[in-house]
Amino acid sequence: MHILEAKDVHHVYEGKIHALKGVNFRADRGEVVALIGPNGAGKTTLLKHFNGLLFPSSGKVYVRGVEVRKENLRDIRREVGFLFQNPDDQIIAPTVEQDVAFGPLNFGMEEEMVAHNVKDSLELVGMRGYEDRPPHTLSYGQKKRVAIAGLLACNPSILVLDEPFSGLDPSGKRELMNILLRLRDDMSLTVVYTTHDVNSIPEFADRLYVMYGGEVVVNGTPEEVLMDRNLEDIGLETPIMFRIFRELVNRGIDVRNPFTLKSLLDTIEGLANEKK
Amino acid sequence: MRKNEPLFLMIYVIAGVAVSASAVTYWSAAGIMLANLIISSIFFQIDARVFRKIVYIVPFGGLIAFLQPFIRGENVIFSYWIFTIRAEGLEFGLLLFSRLLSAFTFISLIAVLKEHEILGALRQLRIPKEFIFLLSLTVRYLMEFRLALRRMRECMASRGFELSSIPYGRKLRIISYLMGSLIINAIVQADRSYEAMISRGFSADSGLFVRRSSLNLYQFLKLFILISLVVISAIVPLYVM
Repeated sequence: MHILEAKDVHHVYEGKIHALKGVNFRADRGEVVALIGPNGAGKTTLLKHFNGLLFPSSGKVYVRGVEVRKENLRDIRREVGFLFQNPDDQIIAPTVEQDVAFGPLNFGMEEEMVAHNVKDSLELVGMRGYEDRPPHTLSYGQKKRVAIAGLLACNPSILVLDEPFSGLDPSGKRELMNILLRLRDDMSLTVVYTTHDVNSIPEFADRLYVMYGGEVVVNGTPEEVLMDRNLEDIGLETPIMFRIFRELVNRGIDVRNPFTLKSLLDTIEGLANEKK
Repeated sequence: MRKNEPLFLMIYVIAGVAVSASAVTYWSAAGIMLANLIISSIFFQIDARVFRKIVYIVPFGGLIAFLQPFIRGENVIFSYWIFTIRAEGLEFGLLLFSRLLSAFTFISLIAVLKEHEILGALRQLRIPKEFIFLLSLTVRYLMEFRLALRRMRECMASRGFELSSIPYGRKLRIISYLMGSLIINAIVQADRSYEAMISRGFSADSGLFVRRSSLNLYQFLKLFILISLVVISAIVPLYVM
């Protein structure tokens, strides 16, 4: 059983815009799944189905094998934490502590448990000591981390993140990536995220879905997808390292799998030695 | 503020406002105000500058008090052209103004609390959670819209726009653009925030997390003494004046 699954999901907005056209998707426990595609490809629409913010016009979505329905929304939303692209949409309370406690209270946790979870969640994202700070005094990256703490405080098993790295500087991006990897490794959380930052995918994601025009056009491990598929065709960018690998393969040079920076350097070193 | 002090101060403020509002003469109200100023500086060690905020509030209440001699009472004590001042109205106006001033000195003390401390204290005083929740959303997004307005003005300034150097008509039009844009932003923001709230299980029963605290016997006794002092300061002038 997959922890998260979408089967032949179609979504039509207000009877006009066909945003999803038969999407099939799956994610397993402890897996990081990246979702890429140009603007308007349907990535956010798909993510919203996982938290029950949208329902399929046809098809089905399952969380831990249970179909997402209006009757079980509370359980689904507790299980699936949803991070919005702009943290200012998500942070609604006047202090960090009150915002992180918002979700657990809604899900009926006891106040003592809430206080404990708030403390732990802020610790996990490196925001202890900011409990009484008003959100408008935080940096963009800190707001993102507070928003993630707000999800973690609900004890979810899946995190669905809409463009978590957008607007972050490289160190902020790296910090957030480390936090998410720690959550995956230590707590076996499943992370599903959308991004335009294809360079981060090989080192961060276990599986990659590419969407275009409301459909999943290809999926697999990042190496499979990025080596086989020319993302420029659909308005995306292939990571520079994979462009080099592909070019080497096209020129008949034997490159070593896995496609990492180390193997690229080894290949180049090998070529240089041959030339000598 | 130390732990429990927001609740302590809030009870003191509410009691003070209630005593101010029930002062029977303006001397009583003045006595209450004086007692509050002394207690605030000695007991709460509050900077006197906090009371400067009264200047912003007084004109509103003061206007209502100022109108009273002209519209209330029977015994005319002064008359000129269409203006007639009556004794009862003057008495009532002075009483109203002194009550307001006294109440404002108490309300001003809230300025030393942070927003979340005020909300927490209100929640512990059993103010309905719906009200607290709305208040907290207002506090949160008021700051966001202030920042948004600042950003918009900076964008306009970067394109050479200076509010002070344009004709009044155009100024009005530009300000209405700004306001219109802010209102649209507010509506869009409300939609997004609501969606984010329901994704975290928001429902009609939802409320905000408040750190629980309660007054111990010692604090309760201190509060009783302070409020008693305020009440005594209202009674003493009745016998002295």
